[in-house]
Amino acid sequence: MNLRIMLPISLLATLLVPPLSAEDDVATQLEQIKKSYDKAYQEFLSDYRAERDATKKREIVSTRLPAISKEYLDKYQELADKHAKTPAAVEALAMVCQLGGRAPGGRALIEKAKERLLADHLNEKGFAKVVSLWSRDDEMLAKIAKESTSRDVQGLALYFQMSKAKGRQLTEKNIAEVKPLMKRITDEFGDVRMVYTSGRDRGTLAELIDNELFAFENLRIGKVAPEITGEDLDGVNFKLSDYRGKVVVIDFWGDW
Amino acid sequence: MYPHERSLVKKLANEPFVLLGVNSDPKEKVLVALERENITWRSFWDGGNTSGPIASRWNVRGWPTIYVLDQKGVIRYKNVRGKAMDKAVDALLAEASSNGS
Repeated sequence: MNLRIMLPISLLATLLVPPLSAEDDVATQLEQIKKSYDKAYQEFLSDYRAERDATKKREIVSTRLPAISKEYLDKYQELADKHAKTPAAVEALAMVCQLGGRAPGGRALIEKAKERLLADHLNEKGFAKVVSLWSRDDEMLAKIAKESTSRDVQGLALYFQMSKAKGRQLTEKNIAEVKPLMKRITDEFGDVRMVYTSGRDRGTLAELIDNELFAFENLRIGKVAPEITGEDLDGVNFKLSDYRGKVVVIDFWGDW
Repeated sequence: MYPHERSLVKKLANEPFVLLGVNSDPKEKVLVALERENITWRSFWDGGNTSGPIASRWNVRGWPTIYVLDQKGVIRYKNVRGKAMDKAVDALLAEASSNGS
């Protein structure tokens, strides 16, 4: 063998196939777990839907759902442990918290995951996605808002504090108390987005607050309904006021 | 939901009444549902997901969400379902006919 030829060839091979970085690798793993979880969940759902017998339906929910949840919770937990203190751990721990509610013994794991998130990830932007885990805990929200160095995290912690103070909706009674915090969030954190772990993006905090105020001003009983313009399912434009003169039921619906 | 809405729409076909949907499904999914459930009432299409512009503006966070408006477009009831929805609509229709309109 001629070493002078071997060396350049192996060098070339390394150049052609760049090794996966550790981060890419763990992101792929996360993606794979998520995909196979989604698949397992869809299978459960279609079996549930196909079953006509009410007792068997309940049985499917009470056996299959905890089993799937536990199986994938363990996978996420393992990944979180293996890649502790990396951004991927935030995602994995968030999933542990999501699945924990339905898995046997999940409660304790949720508490542990929350502790880990606070201890290791409070200053990461990714923590913003999990602030909602403390949405009922005023004290923790205040602590998170104060201590995190991430603007996204601060903004969301303040938003959930405001949400909690507001309750289900703004009323004549609570608006005076809530409005100053709404203003502060809009002024200082208006551009921060609320994104769920599922990836669903609810928009910026300024938009969410604007919608709350709009609802308070315009969507109460006794107010003229705001105009709706848009297209129907055939793509034809129309508006709500086309039906003025009729009693109208507006039904926000989806086929799920 | 569907059977109740179907019967309400059918029962009030000759009244000054309309049921309007705001739909949050992807197009292909909702078109299948229309066919399968024999849905005849008109819906705004809200962009294919639950964060659509109409649902956001109306601050909708749970589905279904119901609003009942009188003939002048004033919001009179919120989130009435089933029999309560029928009663609300009947009351507004009675009010309209007693107004002589």
